[in-house]
Parts: sequence; structure tokens; C-alpha cells
Amino acid sequence: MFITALTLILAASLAPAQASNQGAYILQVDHLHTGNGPVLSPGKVLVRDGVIAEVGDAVSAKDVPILELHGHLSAGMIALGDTTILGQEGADATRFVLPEAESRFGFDPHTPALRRLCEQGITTVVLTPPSDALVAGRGLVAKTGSGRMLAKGQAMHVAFDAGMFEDTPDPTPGGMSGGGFFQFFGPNGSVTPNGYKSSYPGAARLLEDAVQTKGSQMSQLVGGGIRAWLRSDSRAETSRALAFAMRHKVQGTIEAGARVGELATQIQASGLGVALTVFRETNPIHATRSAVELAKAGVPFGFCLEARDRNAATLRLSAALCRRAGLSASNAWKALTFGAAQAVGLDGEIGTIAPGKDADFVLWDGDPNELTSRIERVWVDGKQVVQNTQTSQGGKQ
Amino acid sequence: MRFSLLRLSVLLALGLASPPTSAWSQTADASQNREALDPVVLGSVPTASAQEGEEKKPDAQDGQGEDKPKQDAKDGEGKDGDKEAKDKEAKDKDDKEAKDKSKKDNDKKDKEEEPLEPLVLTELPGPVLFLKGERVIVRPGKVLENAQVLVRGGRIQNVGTDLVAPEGARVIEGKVICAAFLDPWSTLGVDVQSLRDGSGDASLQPMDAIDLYEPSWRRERALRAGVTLVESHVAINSGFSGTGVMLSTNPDLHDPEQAVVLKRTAMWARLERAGDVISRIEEVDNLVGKLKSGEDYLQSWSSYETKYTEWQKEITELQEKLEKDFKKAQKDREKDKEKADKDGKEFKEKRYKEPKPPRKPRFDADKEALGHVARGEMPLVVMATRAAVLRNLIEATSDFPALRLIIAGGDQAMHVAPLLVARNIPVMVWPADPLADGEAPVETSGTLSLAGDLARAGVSVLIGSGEGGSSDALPLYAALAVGYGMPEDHALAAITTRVAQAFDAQSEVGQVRRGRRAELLVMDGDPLSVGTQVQFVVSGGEVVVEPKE
Repeated sequence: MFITALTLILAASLAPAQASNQGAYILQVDHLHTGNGPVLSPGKVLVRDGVIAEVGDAVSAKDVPILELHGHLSAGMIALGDTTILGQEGADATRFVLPEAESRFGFDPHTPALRRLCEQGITTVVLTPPSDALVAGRGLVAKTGSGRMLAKGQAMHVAFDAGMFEDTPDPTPGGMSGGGFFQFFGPNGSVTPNGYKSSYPGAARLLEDAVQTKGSQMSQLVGGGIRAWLRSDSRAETSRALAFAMRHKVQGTIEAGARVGELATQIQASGLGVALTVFRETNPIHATRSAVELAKAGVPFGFCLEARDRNAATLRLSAALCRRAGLSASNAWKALTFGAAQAVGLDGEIGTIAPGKDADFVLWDGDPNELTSRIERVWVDGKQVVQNTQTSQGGKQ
Repeated sequence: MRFSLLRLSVLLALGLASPPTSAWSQTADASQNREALDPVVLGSVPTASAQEGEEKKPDAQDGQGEDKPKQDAKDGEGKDGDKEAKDKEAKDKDDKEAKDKSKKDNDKKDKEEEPLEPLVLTELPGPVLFLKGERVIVRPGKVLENAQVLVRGGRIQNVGTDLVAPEGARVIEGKVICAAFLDPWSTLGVDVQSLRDGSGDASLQPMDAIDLYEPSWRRERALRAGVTLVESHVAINSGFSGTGVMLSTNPDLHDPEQAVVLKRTAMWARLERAGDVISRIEEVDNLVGKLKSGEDYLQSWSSYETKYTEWQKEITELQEKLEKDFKKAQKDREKDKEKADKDGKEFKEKRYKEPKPPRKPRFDADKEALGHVARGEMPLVVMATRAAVLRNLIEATSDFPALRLIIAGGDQAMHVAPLLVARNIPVMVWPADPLADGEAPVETSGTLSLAGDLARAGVSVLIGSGEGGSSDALPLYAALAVGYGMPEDHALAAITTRVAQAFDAQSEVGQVRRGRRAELLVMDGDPLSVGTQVQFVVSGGEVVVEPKE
């Protein structure tokens, strides 16, 4: 009782000076993988209000608790292009061009799927609407540990792949859905009288119309007013997406698979990032080689979370397959963290352990580059959200 | 019997056979017990048995002729019936002993240290390879530092730390040498249409579905990743998919007879094809009923053969008696006839009564295959995921003490882990198709965390690429499983030794041991490390992958 009272008095007297230290702590680990810099062994990181305040081997602060941990601390991983978490909430089956749609209104921050990603060391996930539309509106970026959405992450989703033709609605009474030469809703809700949208040139034409409509949401894509997420799959689609982006000086991310590596230098010149899909192609060798070429050209890229949320480990599997194709360990790790952040324009907030960035960490029992390493703890925005109890007894020799 | 004895004698002649404790003699025993199902076909490798081709050939024919006794019996002649029935009886007896023995073997399988006795394979064809490694992983958990492996004639001739390269041998040096990976559940090398078929049955064999002219990059990638052998089967959407084969991923092999190294691995079955609970219960009942009918079928054949022998014996005795008493009978007949004539009566011939032969059961290939499974002569791999189905299956099959059940998939297997441990049932875990559509039955579906959880619960785990993964990522799956808490040795065993063991091929593959097929990897690092490059792959005794320059 006395001690409590004393503490209260002490706390009250020190209040002005210590206010910023509330919720502050220092993590001390055997190995600290900063991400874009060196590995500190041992390393310390000071976290204040969910943000990294200081990183180094001799960080200290007055009256800040130090948490000593064994293992390797890295930044949290970033998964790009998850289409499953939003589910049907992100889909609009009635309008082909819907730039006003915002996925955040259909987002459930408490979905267990986020929790499962978090347990896999993925602290940030880019959610894309599972769109069959040409323009599906704004996606979102969320923290897996809390469901917190990042304001900067809401890119406009534009499709260049054949997927958009698959379930295009047919508004004619009794008409069939599933594409074909029917009429579709055009930009701004108007009905276009013919069905040229079920071809690439038709879709491109519609897109040009939308972008050139002054004052529209879509027109803000020009010059990078808002970020774009350009979805493509085959090499030809990626070329079209790239041409569109260069024509209108669009900034953002190209979602691409297979042979995007062949366009590495042009993409580098355009300033776009790449969200790579490794498993979509039957033969992932093209995609994994692409990763090597993108890294060589200096294009920031990350991996799409192609798996359903239950199979989040495929993100690391993607990186492992790319390493087999010749991607270096540091570039593979970059693609899982900082490169992915760069690709979606969030490199100021997440992706490395550096002052000013969100305190998203993963504690591993071994080298984070190894699939055999176990995830022991995960922090998101400075809060520890995962602690695996089973991991301490190891199977490792 | 003749087959296995000959086989043993071949081994003896080559100096391969060893005291009863070693694996080799166990193999010989096993083949004795299972002569008809002896699965090891030594494909393309010029092996000891191939060398003894003349001796081996008639044996192989005998081995294939599992239905031969029936054919004979069908003809109604049944001259061999006697011998065959005796063999069958002896076999049944042996079977029982084998079961007991295999149980014991299972108990001590991990502890047992086999003596290394000299192996003489000097005159065999094929290249002579001398592999030197800083670490030679003989099997998971047993590592030799600075050791050498001598390969000759497609086989590992010797493993040791003080071997000297023979003259003319190709010397390959590397950091780590280990046994090549085995994928226990693959879709490689078979025709896609046949693979997805839903109308298979127990007697189905995939040899005719093997398509080695499909684009070879899948097999080549698997080979480069160190997966030299994969288990493939067809008709995966059927209740019973028939038996599987183990085939080489070497893309240069186009002849199934060369590529298939093991013609029978296991019987495959699939549950949960039905959409509702009641039908799923019925599925298990059907499976168990079929096993029972298979067991009864073999029983009916063996009892038929016993009866047939008795009948033959009876007939022979009768015939002998008739022959012996012929003159007397003739005299008696004449006497009787005279007497009848004298009395003016009509002479009646004595009726001769012959005992009827026993009724022959109808031949049924499906039941026969199922019978062998029920007797534990080959394992039964059942694809199932739901806890309720797994529990039902495990409990319903407890009437078959010899049945060697393996669960494939097993998403909810953690709920029945104690049952799996008690019955010693391994689980084949696979990564789900990353792009698979449709609802997964459970949250944990298809993650390799299952492998870690089961391993910690004491269940024996195998890791396969399954229907959604790809064989070339097999070592990565094993690595992920370690990341989920699976002991590293167990994870490596899950793609090497345990696979070989599950398919009765432990004397052929899975370890770096003398006498085994030379399926070896030379790597620049730990087998499960992401950064490790497989530099050399030796398959069937030949170097099939060289380092990329």
C-alpha cells in the first residue's frame, strides 16, 4: 500500500519529464536485423508510442524497461495483393468501372484471417478487391496485429488482366453473365451502348475515357495524384499496364507474374514497384527468374500473398524459390520487407528497423532467411501480439 | 518359396546376405513372406539381381504369377494344386510370423545399428563414383565427418571415413552428402486425365498411365532440387485408386519400365468424396466392408485350395485302391455275372461313386488386392481430413490387426493424435494448393504447421507435395515444417527414410548405406537450408545433375 502510494507520488512528481516514456521500452536481442543496414549482434531498439525511436548496440534511456530476449529480431514481413480477406465485401458485381468504391468500408479489422497472417510474421498486408471490374476502386493496407489501416495505402485498382472479363455482369434482362458481347455500365454509372469492354482494346478505351474525364477520381491517377495498383498477369498484359502508367505518369504498383523480369529496366525507369506472383504461372521458373532480374535492375518488389490466409507461409516459400533461381539472401529478405514497402510507397513507415518507423518486429529462433527458423514473438505498432509458447523447446540441434 | 530362397541364394552368392540382425536378411525374410507382392523391381539400374538375370528371370515370372494358382485351378486340372496349396499354407503361417516380426522391428527400428559387412560388387557395369564429403548424412541423426562413398554398378558399394578412390573412379567432392529426397505423394509422370479419374478401383495399377513424354521440366526441376524418386498413382478421385509406383524424375528416361523403380508402393483410397455427414460414415463402412471382403476372398481361396488338395488326395487314394484291387474286382464281377446268368437274373454293374471336387471361388482382382492390403502385405494410404472421419476410420479398421494404415492429408489429425500414436499410424502431410478454390474444411488445412504439431504429439510424419504442391519444393516444405516445430531429423526423415520405410523400400533407398541404390546428393550446405544448392545428383548410379556454371 505504502509502496503503491510512494510510486504514485513519484510518478506524479516526474510526470512532465516522463510523459513520453509511457509505454516506452527497449528490446535487447542477440541479433538485430535492421533490414536495409547491418546486423547488430547484440542490438537494441527503443520503442516509444508504437514507433521506433532509436536503434543501435548501445541504446539507453532513463526509466525505460529493457526486455532482454534471445534470438533474431527482424522487421515484420509485408504481404502484397491478398484477395481473400476482403472476400465478397470487396467485390461489386454490378459495375465495371467503380473508382468511388473504397474497400475500407467492407473491411473487418477483427477477421481471424489477419490474426493468422500475424502468427506467420506478416505484420502488414495489402488487401486488393477480388475484382472482376476494370476499375475496382481503392484497396487498403492494414496492420495484421490490430486491423489498423494505413492512410497512405489506398491505391486505385485497375485491371489489365483477363480476369476482369470473367464475370462481367450482363445487365440485360434474362441475359447471361460471364462475359460476352453484351452491354455494360460505363464510367460514372452511365450505360455504354455496346459491349466492347470484353476485349483488351475495349477495356483500354474505357480506361482512357475515365482517366481523361476532368475532375473525376480516375483523372487523379495522372501524374501520381493518387497511387495506382495495376493488375496484370501475362507478359502482354504487364506491357499494357506499363504503357498505360508511362503514358499518364501514373505512380504505384504493377501486380505481375511470369515474365515481368523482361521489362525490368523499363519498369525501373517508370518508377513503379512490382508485386510479384510466383505461383500463378504453371511453371514458376519464369517468375523466380523475374525476381532476379528485377533485383538486378533495382526495381522495388515484394511478393503477393497468393495463398489463402491459412497458407501464409507461401510468402516465405516464394522467396525461397526465388533464391533457388539465384536471388541473393539479402534481396530475398528485402522482397519480404523493405522492397515490398517501397513497392507500395510505404517505405517511410514500415519495412526496416529504423528510427521513425512503426515498431513491427518478429523474433525468430534462427536466421530469418531460413524456412527452418521459428517465429517466437510478433510485435505490431509496438505491441506484442503473438507469443508462441511451443517454440522454446526446439527440434533443432 | 522357391522364388525367395533363390533370391536369398543370389544375395548369399554375392556376399550381400548377412547375419539375421541386418536389414538385408530382413529383406530376404520379407520377400519370403510376401513372395507374390515383392515390390522391388530394380528398374534401369544394372544391379546385382540384374547381373544374375538368368537366375532371376524365372523367379520374376513366378512373382508375377500371383493369380497363377487360380488360373490352374480354373482349368480344372489342378495338378499343381497340391504344391500351391502347401505353399499358400506355409505362406499364411509365415505371414503371421512376419507380422509379429515386423512389429518387433518397428519397435527397434530407430535404435538398431546394423553391422557393416564387406560388400563385393567388383564386376558390375556402370560408372565408378567416389564421393567425398565433409559431412555424410548416412541417415537423419547419423553423420560421418570427412567420409567417402563409393558407388559402383548403380549401388552404394561402401561408405566409410578411410576409403581410397579406386583407379579410374570419378571423384566428386562436396560439403554435404546425403540420400536423395523421396516424395511419397506426387502427381508427376502420370497422364493427367488418368490422374484425376474418379472411377478407379483396388486392382488398378498405374503402369499404363505413366506418361514420360509430358513436358519434362517438372520432373527436371524436381531432380535438380534433389528429389530423384516420387510416388505417383492415378484415379485420385476414386474411392480406391489402386496401387502406386515409385518412379525416377530423371527426364531422360522415357520408358516406364526403366523409370519405375518400385512397381507397388501402397494401395490408395480416398474418403470424404461425399458431401454430407451420413454419406461420409457410409464411405468408411464401405471401405471397411471391402477390406473384409478382400480378407474373406483370400480365405476362401486358401480353404478352396486345402479342400482341393484333400479331394485330390482322396481321388488318388481311390484310384490306387481301384488299381490295386483291379484283378480281384474283375474276378468278382465275372463271378457275379455268371451267378446272375445262372439265376436268370439281370446283371447289375456295381456303381462307382467318385467324390465331387470342391467349388472354386470366382476370381476377383479387386478383392484379391484388398485381401493383400488387409493382411498388411502392402500399406493402405487413406486420404482424409476431418477428425470425425479419421476417428471413424481408425476405430472401424481395428478389426484388421495386420492392416498398415497411413493417413494422407489429415488436416484435423491433431484431434485424433493419441489414436494415431497408439496404432502407430503415420500421417502424410502436404501443403495445400496455394491457389485452390473452395472452402477448406478447417483453418489449419494445408499448412505445414500440422507436421510440426503431429511430430510433437509423437505421430510419425511424412511430407509429400500432394495434389497441390510440387515435388521440386519438397525440401522447402520439410524446412517449413521445422519452422513449425518439427524436429529437424524428423523433417529430413519425412522425405527420406520414413518414406522408404512406409513403402517397404528401406533396403533399397532412403539412406547412404552400402547395398542401397545409389540415389545421392552432393550439396554445398545443410539439406534443409534455403540457400543450399544441390551441386550433383546421382540417380541410379549415374551423375544426372552437374553444377551449373
